[in-house]
Order: sequence, then C-alpha cells, then structure tokens
Amino acid sequence: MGRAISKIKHPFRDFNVESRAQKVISQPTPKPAPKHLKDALDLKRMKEAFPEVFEESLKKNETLDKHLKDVFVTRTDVPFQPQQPINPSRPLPQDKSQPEQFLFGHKEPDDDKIPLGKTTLRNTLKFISQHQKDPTKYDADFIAKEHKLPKEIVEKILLYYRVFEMYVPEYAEHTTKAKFAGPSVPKKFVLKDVGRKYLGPPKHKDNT
Amino acid sequence: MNLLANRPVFRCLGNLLSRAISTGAPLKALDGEGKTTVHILNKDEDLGLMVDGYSQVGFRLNNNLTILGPMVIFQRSVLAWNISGVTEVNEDSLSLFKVLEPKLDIIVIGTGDCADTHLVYKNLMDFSRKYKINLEILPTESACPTFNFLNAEGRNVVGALIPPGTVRYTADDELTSKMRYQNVLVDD
Repeated sequence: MGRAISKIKHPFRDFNVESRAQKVISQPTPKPAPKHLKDALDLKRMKEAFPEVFEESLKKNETLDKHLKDVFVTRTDVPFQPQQPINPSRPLPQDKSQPEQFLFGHKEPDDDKIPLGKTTLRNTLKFISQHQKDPTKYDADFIAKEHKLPKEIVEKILLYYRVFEMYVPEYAEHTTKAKFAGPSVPKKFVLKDVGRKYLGPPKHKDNT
Repeated sequence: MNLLANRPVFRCLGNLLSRAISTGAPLKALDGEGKTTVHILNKDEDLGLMVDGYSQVGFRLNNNLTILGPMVIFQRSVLAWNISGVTEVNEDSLSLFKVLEPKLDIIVIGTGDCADTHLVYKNLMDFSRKYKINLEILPTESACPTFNFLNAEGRNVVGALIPPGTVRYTADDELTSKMRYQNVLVDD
C-alpha cells in the first residue's frame, strides 16, 4: 500500500535513475551539498567577524606539512619469538583488576610540579570553600599568595564560583531520595518554594 | 496533588538520550535472550558525574542530587556558577579555566534557551585562542548529553550549564518527576 502511494506521489523518482546517478558520481570534482541555513549564516558571520582567522585556515601550514612528509613506517622482518618460559622466581602479575579511579577523574600533578600561576581543581575547591566559611581570613590576597595565583583571577573566581549547601526536605527524607544543592549563599525563597505544608513548622530558623 | 502542580518537571536524559546500545549479533538485534544489551551511561558510577535531567530551576545529577541554578560540572565534582544568564558568559566568568592544571580538553557551554550561539562564540573566540581551550557552545538541551558522552569517554571535560527557560517534556518525564516525591499509586 505504502509503495503504491509512494509510486503515485513520486512518479518520476526512479526514472532513468542509474544514468542520472552515474552522471553525478562521474564528475571530476564533487559538488558539495548545500549547507543548512543556520550553518551557512554562522559561517558567513564568522568570516566577517574574524577574516584573518579564516584566511589563516585556508593557508597551508608548511611546518606541519613537512612533519607529515618526514614520517615513515618501515618494516623489518622480525622472527617469531616463542613465549618466554615461566620463571617461578619471577612470577608474572596475576592481578587483572582495574587500577583505582582518580578522585577528580584525572591524574593530578604533584604539588611541586604545578606551574606558577596555575592550580589544581582540588586546591580550587579547597580555597573556594575556605573563602565561603571565613571570607575575612581567606580573602583574595591571602589565597593569591598561598597558591601563587594572579590576584585579579582569584577575585573573579571567588565572585563567579560557589560551593553548594545541601537542602534536604524533611517530608521527603523517608520517602524519596530528593536532595537539593544550592549555591552556598542562602536565599530565603528556596525553602519556601519546596512547600511549607510539607515542611511543617520551621524548627531551625537558621536552616535556610 | 495540587501542591505538586507547580513543581518543575525535569526533562529526563537518563532513559532517552544518553545511552549506548551494543548488540551481540549485529545483523539481528533482537535475536533471542541475552543477545542485546542496553548500557545506560548515567547509571554507571565508574564513568563519573553526569546530568540526568534539567528543568527551569536547575539540573538533576546521577548521584540523586538536584542542583539549583547554573552550574559548572567537572568529571567528578560540581560548582555553582554565579551568573544571571547567557549575557554574563564571558572571559571573566570563565576565569577558573585559565588557571586549571592539567589543561582542559574541552568546555561544553550550555546557553539555556539561546539557540543562536553566534554571539556567545564571538565573545569567547579570543579567550579560546589565547588559552588554547576548545569550546562547544550549544543550547542546554543538547549540551547535557554532549557533556555526558564526553565524560563517559574519560576526557577532561567541563560543562558550564545554564538552566533553560522553557523545557519540552513528555508525559513520561512528568510521571518520573512526580514519582520522585510521592507514591502516585496511593490517593492522598
């Protein structure tokens, strides 16, 4: 049924299809498909905004090209080496378990290997939370000195990034796993939003 | 029931977008028992922190935590991002990434509703070139799964995400959101 309707809707779709396809693929330089309207617009605007970057992207990078040409793969016939006999005094490792995951998901450099003016995520989280607990002691000056960072960057980090405070709705503690984390400067409307009725009378006023 | 009426509905990513399907038999995907497995990335704790859902107020992560407001999500940690909207996404508000060691592979910026990311890109082009940090600027709807996939691949990725103003959700999302807070089968 679908095939019949399709035949009626597009009567000439399969007409002479093979020679038409042949004509397209036998072109010496293939014609690229038209860009999507948004992509074309984006490209046009980018070209206007950054003409020199676009120019640069069209040029051939001589050094990279040379590197590519210098790479060769050579093969020398290596005779098949039979498996080493197992030496009982030097047993091979048997443990095939995965290595332990890193706490932050990536390998952090040692403390003495961090370049000047840089810091690790671990240190960043530490000083942001320290600053929020005691903003007078851990101010931008103190942190900049301790972690050897530019002061203006520390100021911006402290302004734009916050650690979280947890909000666990009381009514939901036993029934759901709902846990909320908001930026650690508390806003009063956050708890009101959850619904006073469920929360019951406020026990700790400073809980907000 | 009425109290839950204006609770934001979280658009769920966990069951819809962020999954990889691996089939034992490539030709016949449903070839009997045990031949097809679905592996949902968000449920694998070894792969790190991921975004399960988003709504107008924030994001739900795969550790059952609901983040309120814009956030900066790393591989295994998360920070609040103190900005008011997409207009504040600039070199200053991304200044944390200038000083991070090891260097980031990519920053995924979720611009909320803003689908035309050209202006954001234009503002950040110099930042990206100066600090040699790759950017992926997308509406939040597509930035969340992009972040999840990149994180699952083990890249040093950061998602800087702003909650969208409008959320398209299905009846399934509505039910999942409700079921988090109450037993829908019991009439109260």
